[in-house]
Amino acid sequence: MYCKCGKKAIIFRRYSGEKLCERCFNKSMVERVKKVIRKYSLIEKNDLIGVGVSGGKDSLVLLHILKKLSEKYPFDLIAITIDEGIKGYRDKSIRLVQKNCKSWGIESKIYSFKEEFGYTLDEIVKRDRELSPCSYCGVFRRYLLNKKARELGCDKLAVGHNLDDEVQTILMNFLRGDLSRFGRTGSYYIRLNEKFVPRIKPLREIPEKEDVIYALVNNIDVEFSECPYAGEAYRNNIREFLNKMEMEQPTTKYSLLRSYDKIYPLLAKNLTKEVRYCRNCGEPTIGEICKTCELLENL
Amino acid sequence: MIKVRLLRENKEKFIEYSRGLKIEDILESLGYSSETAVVKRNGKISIEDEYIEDNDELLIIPVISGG
Repeated sequence: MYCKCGKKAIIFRRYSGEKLCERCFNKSMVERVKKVIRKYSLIEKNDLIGVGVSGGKDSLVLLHILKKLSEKYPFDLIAITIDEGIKGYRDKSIRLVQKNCKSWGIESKIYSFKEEFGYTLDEIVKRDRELSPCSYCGVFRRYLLNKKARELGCDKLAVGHNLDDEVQTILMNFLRGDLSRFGRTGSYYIRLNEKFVPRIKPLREIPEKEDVIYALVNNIDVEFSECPYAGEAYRNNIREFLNKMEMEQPTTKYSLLRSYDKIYPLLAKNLTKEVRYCRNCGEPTIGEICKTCELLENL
Repeated sequence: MIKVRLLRENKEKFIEYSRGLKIEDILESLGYSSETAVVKRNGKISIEDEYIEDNDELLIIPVISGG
């Protein structure tokens, strides 16, 4: 198979029929991210963008593409990494974050669960055998990313969620009947509260597989292993289902995303709850005390 | 013989070559698909419907990682 430019293709996008060589694929990835940023005004002039970088392929690809764009457009970047304290996994990926940030000339900040909450995730897992590690990790990581991005003066917090992550989340929340979460996977950000740094997802329309290819093509050193605590059974089932559907009908994932995007403005308007401040830590929350403080009391 | 290295499993496998075999056939036999893996054939990223030649070396890179 050959690219439209005549070179040997490295990817066949079944959902669009395009065959692309390395160079055209790279160009297309940057263009698509740029298009999403423009379409939803995700980045404005002189913004400081905090990028949540774990060292995995998605966040490093996001950082690489944003770095390219920041050389042409007026905005700045800072990498924010959360060290959950997962021995043998996160220590390796943090080294990759530091190495890549150094070679790309991007400032990198690392904050740990241990320093902020008093426990590593490994210690949390030993203390609480009822709740899943992901229940703690997801809540603590979002809390810390938001807090640190705000303290660093970031205008937006960019996260590396890709197309697959997004459609899995949409379908999971819908099937579970979790409508308040269902209304939170939108294409554009809503400024809910001054203490919430708006989260943007520039890779939202990039299939996960293309993140892998981009990392390989650009020789980005990424962590290809999976978190040892990963294995949220429900998400795995949904992922398998969506991949199977995509094999049979190669536009399934995009169709689902587009359908969601059409109803998102209604969801956001009707399902958004009032934001208050946690009476314990002062961080924004929907309840009396925030989920982070609630979980910390458990330990 | 085709040498296949599975990055996730950190394993190497040898598969008997037969005419008309495509990368996607190998993926399927290993429980992967074009949605769940990227393949390097003799060091180069390759499209799944390419035919395999005898003595090819494949590297299977899982799409799902991180978290």
